[in-house]
Amino acid sequence: MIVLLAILGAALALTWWGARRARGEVEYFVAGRRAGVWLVGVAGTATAVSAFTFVGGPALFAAVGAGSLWILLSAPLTGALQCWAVGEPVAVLASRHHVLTVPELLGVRARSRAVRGVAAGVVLLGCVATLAVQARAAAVLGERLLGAPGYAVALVTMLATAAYAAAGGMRASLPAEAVQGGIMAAAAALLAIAAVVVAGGPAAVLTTLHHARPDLLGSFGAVPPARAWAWWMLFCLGTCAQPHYVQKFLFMRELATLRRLPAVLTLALAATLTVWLGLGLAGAAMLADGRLALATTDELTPGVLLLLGPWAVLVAGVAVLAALMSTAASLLNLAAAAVTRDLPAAFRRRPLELAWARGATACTALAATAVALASDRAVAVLGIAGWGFFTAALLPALLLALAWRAATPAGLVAAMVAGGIVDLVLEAARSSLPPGLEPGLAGAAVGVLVLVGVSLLTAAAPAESTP
Amino acid sequence: MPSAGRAIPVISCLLAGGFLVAALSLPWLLPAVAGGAAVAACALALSGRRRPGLGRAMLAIGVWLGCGFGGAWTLRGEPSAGLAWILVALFALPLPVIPWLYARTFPDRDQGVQDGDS
Repeated sequence: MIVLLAILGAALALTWWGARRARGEVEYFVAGRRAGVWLVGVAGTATAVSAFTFVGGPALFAAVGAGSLWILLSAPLTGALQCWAVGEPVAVLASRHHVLTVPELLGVRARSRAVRGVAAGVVLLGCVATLAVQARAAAVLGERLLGAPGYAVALVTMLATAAYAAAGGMRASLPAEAVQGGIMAAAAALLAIAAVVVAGGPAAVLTTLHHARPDLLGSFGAVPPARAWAWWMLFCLGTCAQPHYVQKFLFMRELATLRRLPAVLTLALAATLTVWLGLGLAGAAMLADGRLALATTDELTPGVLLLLGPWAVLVAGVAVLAALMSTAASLLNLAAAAVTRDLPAAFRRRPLELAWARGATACTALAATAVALASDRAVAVLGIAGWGFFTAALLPALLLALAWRAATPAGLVAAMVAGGIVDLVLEAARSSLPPGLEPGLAGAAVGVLVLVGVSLLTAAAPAESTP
Repeated sequence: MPSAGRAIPVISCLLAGGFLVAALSLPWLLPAVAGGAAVAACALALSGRRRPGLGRAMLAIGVWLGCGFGGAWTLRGEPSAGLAWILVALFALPLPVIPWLYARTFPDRDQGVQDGDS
């Protein structure tokens, strides 16, 4: 509880600091466009690593074993992939057209207000879904570790994040995310090592699982190989479609920053992902030998932490709060920009004042908390669903619009709508789908086909005026 | 060699259609689609940019994914060896290599970066 209060105090201080500095929209939405490689890289990783990694990941390992690792096995590639496929063209367009948001970027590239408006709607919907993952994780941890009502912990955490994100925008959130990223990487490595040591060491953990749960080991654990490959693909290609990842390329001081960015992103991400493997392996072994008993797999992380001792609860509490607050701050900023800049622009209106952006930030935080508390889905499932929606709706538009000149506004709009709808329909029927048919990927595949088909059909149509 | 204007939509549609077919009825095709899509996405950097060594970097990534996925499939029934393979071959070994490949193929200032946006 003391940790929670300390973090709330830090959030209040950051709110005061940020409110004094974030006066213009460039400061508020893209942190003044002055960030260097370490700030962008570590903050980018903090944004990428959400509560899903600390709570959902180890829980998924306990349920399906090594198959869950296919979600993170693309980590060595994703830093370079993002820079090759998205980062370079985004950075060039952002500096040339002074772009502040991801929907604006797509609108500028397609020279279309409709593209910008639909992209803003997608970003707003996806942000609420992904924010709900953070709120749900806060509720789970609050109930189990603090013994406090989950709804209260989720609400307090989300509102504290909304306070500094609303007051200071990315000017306050970006340095906070970088600090949070450093804390997360160190805490994740420490917790992973400690969990494996308490479980008896790596050899004992593997021996226990080999005898009691061999189905969790091997290349794919208890996951059908088709699903493992689909997860790899979803979390590899999906990095190019997450607006809170792409947003970081708008903050860079210069294009040359990109040269070393994959190294920083990969290093920070690899350090943080050790918690998934360490807590997952140790927790599964302790479940197998009876030292741990859980009602639901989401309780694995809190259960292991309680076995490690109060220091681990403290460290993990800080790390998980850092993880969910850093992701939430970026998503709240994106949602606020969509409401106050992109949607008005789509309807030929002037952008709303920053005061409206601050109000939109608070409203989005409340909406996401309500969704999280109303959902009974596990954190891991919510996390995959949120990631999948962005992938389905935005991957074809972002990859093809930036590289293929013949993509038309009609094609981009149709692709975003079709991809999003396919994802939502398949997500509702997830339990009856073939193992390799991941809804987010299926939506993206349909989106690509629709984008190319509609673009070829509408190639001769005149483009709309530049927004 | 086809121009980027033609190659991008053709390859995109082949991969998208290939994924849907593989996911619905030919799951053994998924690793090829996954690896192909990852390499194709990286190769978007080839559109309109002069980047010495980028083609070889893409080839190296393709070979790594082929070996990694193939080894995982081969060792799927081996509890310890299978887990070790995916952690070492697909995660630990490429961690320092791929960022280095990116930095090595990053265009020098005088080569410039053209995004094709006029």
